[in-house]
Amino acid sequence: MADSEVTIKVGFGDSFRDLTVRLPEGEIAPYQPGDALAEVGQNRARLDAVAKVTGRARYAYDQRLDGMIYGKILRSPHANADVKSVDVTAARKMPGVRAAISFADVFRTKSVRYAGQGVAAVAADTEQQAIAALEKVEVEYDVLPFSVKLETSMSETSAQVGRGDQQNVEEIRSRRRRRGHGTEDEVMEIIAKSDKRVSGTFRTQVHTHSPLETHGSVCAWEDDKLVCYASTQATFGFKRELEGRTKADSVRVFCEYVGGAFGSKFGAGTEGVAGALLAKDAGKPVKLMLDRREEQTDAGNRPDSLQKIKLGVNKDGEIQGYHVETWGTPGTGTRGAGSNNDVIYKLGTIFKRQTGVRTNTGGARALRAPGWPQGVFALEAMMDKAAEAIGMDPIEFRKKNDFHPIRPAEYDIAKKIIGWDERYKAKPGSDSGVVKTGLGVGSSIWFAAGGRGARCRVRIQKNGSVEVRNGAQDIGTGTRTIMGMVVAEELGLPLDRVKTFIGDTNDPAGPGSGGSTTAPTLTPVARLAAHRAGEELLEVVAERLGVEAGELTLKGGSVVRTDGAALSSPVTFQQACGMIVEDEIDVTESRRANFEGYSGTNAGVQIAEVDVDTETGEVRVRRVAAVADAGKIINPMLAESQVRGGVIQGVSYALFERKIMDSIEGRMVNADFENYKILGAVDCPQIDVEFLDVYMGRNNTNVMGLGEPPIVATAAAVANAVYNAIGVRVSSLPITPKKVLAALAEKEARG
Amino acid sequence: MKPFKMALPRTVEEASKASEGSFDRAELLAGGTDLLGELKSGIRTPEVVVNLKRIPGLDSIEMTDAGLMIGALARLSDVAAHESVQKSWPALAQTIGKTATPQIRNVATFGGNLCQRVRCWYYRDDSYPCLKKGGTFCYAQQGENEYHSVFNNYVCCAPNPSNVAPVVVAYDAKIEIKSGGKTKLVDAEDFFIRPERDVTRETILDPGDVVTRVLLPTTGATRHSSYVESREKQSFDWALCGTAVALELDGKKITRARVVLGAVAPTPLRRPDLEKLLVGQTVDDALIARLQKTAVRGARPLAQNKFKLDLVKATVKRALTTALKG
Repeated sequence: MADSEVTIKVGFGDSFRDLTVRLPEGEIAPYQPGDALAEVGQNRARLDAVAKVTGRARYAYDQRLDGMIYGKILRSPHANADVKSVDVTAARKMPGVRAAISFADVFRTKSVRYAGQGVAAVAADTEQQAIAALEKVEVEYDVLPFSVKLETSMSETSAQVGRGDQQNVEEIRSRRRRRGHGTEDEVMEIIAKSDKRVSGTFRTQVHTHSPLETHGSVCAWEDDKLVCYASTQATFGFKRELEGRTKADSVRVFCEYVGGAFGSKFGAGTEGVAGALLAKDAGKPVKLMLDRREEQTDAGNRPDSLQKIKLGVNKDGEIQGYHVETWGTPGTGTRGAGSNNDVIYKLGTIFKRQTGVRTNTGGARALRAPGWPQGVFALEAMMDKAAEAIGMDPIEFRKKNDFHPIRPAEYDIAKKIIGWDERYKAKPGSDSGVVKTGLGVGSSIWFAAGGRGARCRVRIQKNGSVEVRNGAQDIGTGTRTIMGMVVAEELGLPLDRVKTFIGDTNDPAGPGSGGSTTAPTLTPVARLAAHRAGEELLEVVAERLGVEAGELTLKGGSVVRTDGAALSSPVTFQQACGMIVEDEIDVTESRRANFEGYSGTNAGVQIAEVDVDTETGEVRVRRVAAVADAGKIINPMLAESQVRGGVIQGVSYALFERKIMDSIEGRMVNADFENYKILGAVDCPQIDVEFLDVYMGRNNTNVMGLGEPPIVATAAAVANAVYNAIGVRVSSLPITPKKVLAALAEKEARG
Repeated sequence: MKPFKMALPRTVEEASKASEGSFDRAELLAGGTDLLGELKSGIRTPEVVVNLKRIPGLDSIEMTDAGLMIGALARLSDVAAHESVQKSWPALAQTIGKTATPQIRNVATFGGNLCQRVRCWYYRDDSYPCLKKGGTFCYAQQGENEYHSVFNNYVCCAPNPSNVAPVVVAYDAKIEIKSGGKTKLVDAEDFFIRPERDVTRETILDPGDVVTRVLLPTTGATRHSSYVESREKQSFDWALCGTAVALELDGKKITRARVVLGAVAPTPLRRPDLEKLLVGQTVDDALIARLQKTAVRGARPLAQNKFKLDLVKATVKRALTTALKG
């Protein structure tokens, strides 16, 4: 077989066109509009729903291995210090202690750059004994001045966060000049010559992942083989990191369930490595899971941002130029500080300068659409300002500067759901009462067509049992379920006939759950493996019946003829399996690159409706209309769940969540779920989700990712709605009563 | 959490005896929703935890001739659901409805709520040796103080977090305290003490004292009462500011008034000055404006919490207007 060309339909709604794509050898063509699919596209409860709600699902945290002991990490109380020495001798002699390690030895820790950074770890028979032993670890610190806030780190008199010649403030140079970008002078001139100019300064907070299950693992050694039950979003990433760090002959990572990750659990981390090393030292299984305070301080975050933007627009609504400067603090480094505030729309000629600011705080990690919610919050505020400056409806203005093939249709759906034309306040803040209502819009873009990087195994046994295996995890999106669904579809079986196995690195490799690529990477390869296994099964049947395999297909639990004619004698799937000569059909497939399809990006539009109490400053998000697309929707119920989760996390980010650092000692003062405030049930808006089913034609299931896109626009839409309600902008997240009251006072002072 | 012994007294007298000495030696446990957090964070390390839950009768709620007697161990959820509370002490039902979460209200006790410690993050973090922990420095004065007190905040600026306490004070409740064989009854207002008197505690309770009951007296002021608070989150959050108002009316004229602010001072803050403004008056916009202006008089906002003054004004107005409707 060689590569082949096939003409497929691409598009959405009732607008499709033909596209000829090159299928790599062995590939199959995507689902087509109008295909009669029995499983794919149907609502199916997630396969592990009952296990999760009954507590039968065993997370890393739930593992209790024979002889298991407990690991604990000693953490620096100082925000900035050089570590002169770490001595675990006394700790090792404490009651119940079986192992102790110094991070100076294991991680070559010579300094601590934030309060809560690990310096040593012990493992003891009980948690109490481990905690008691930590107090006996002797650490000699040379304590240094520190800076824990963006503003202080940027000041001339700030303490140095780094070492050597590391500056606190460092420009992040992009590797290449991007298309549509100009020099600073060019862009400033373009803006100056535009009909109208608007500008804004925006501030966003540090946002922590706050998964319910903290980071960590249960590790056990059998001779030189390491087995690890991990809380992870990348079983193979976790495995690779432990292979590199522990000198194990082999590492096997299990993760059938993970209690949330949101981008923070790609690697083993210091806690994972320490757990594995303690277990080796102790000769017993070690459970080392972070407590909530450790989780909130040392397991990543979305950096904060300071964004200054200028925009020039002509009266006809065409944006001419866009000048943006951003700062952000990803902790002690500068990587990951950027804000994605110059995408989505046609913004004319762009100049962008990004700067990372070091602070003595725990480091950033990817957090659900890293760089996006903060950037889009600023971008969408600028879009509203520009629309207002030229007297154009904000959505009409966005449509005018949009280039996406899908998004214009989404604006119209969202408008209809929320009643935009009737309820958007043409004059912001014009409600007469104390509680004022407003609408705001935000948009998103995402790049999640998946691709290669996964293998999948499908087995059909003589007794009729079917299983699909991939070693990647289900971060909570329903990966297990949709993998089962595409296999069931391909074999003409109901979902409950397919056994699904995930989260074991002895199975074929799968991706880390990042970039929203798991579904578009795994479903096509699962379908391909099932297709191949089905073909083998049909060959067995064809030989028995004396027909060509190509004349047969699997449908409704039976072998049927593709031409619709009846078989000479009916053959059920079960009977077909009985004909297998060997014990089983066992297929492992991988995929090559994606096809050239119709759109490589997801769009997405959200409109929020808020009430603002102008006396108390309280903001209530009443409703969010979320219109989303993710290629072909395999399971609408799961997809909707994903969008709801994104909106909920986005509202929580918009109104409540923030990491608060104390300037006196440099520690996080709200490393808990009491004062690190996360939206609760009463704060949750009504969420109306609507999908466009898009046949994008880039892989055989047409699936695109959906994990991250739904959080991108939410805070922006909420902030714009607050402006629409009260006629003054809160340019800083989260939008707390304090900030709303300050904005209203400022408005009143202006008159 | 440091290991401790647990005492399981069967009578109040035994409990009193078991908790004598000092707070460092013994802590009382009722619902445990507050104490558990203190034990886990390591800021309290008692030798003995005296569990009150096996003492019979402490959780009763009874209507008597004098008023409603609420046992110290009555669960918040039971108090809020009690028919008499719903009918005659509406502000109490309102405030409990806003307290913590349904799960916590099903465990937390009425007496425990009044005795709970402050939520100041410097107090709750064992790495800050603040005044309340015997240190010499109030970190919040110079540090992160957005949620702290705006009144009487010179020594310790952690506000009293209870949203039940201002209501109890507004209802002129009496708190029954037993110690050794003795019983005393104190006005709710006098139950809470300012940091100037003793910064290491928030109530008059000495070691060995056990709160046994709270009496809500039957007066004309109970029906026209209200509690209004503002907060950041609607699910599970602490008040930024709350106001409790209880009025006696003659027609539309106010004959007696109680106004108590919560979450803005180290104690529930009774405001006789506001009460004086109200008595003898019929409420109109001008009076409300005067009341709001007076309400923030004497406030000393910290660097990050000036906005609480707006919330004092807003909740005073709303609590008053809601109470009048009652």
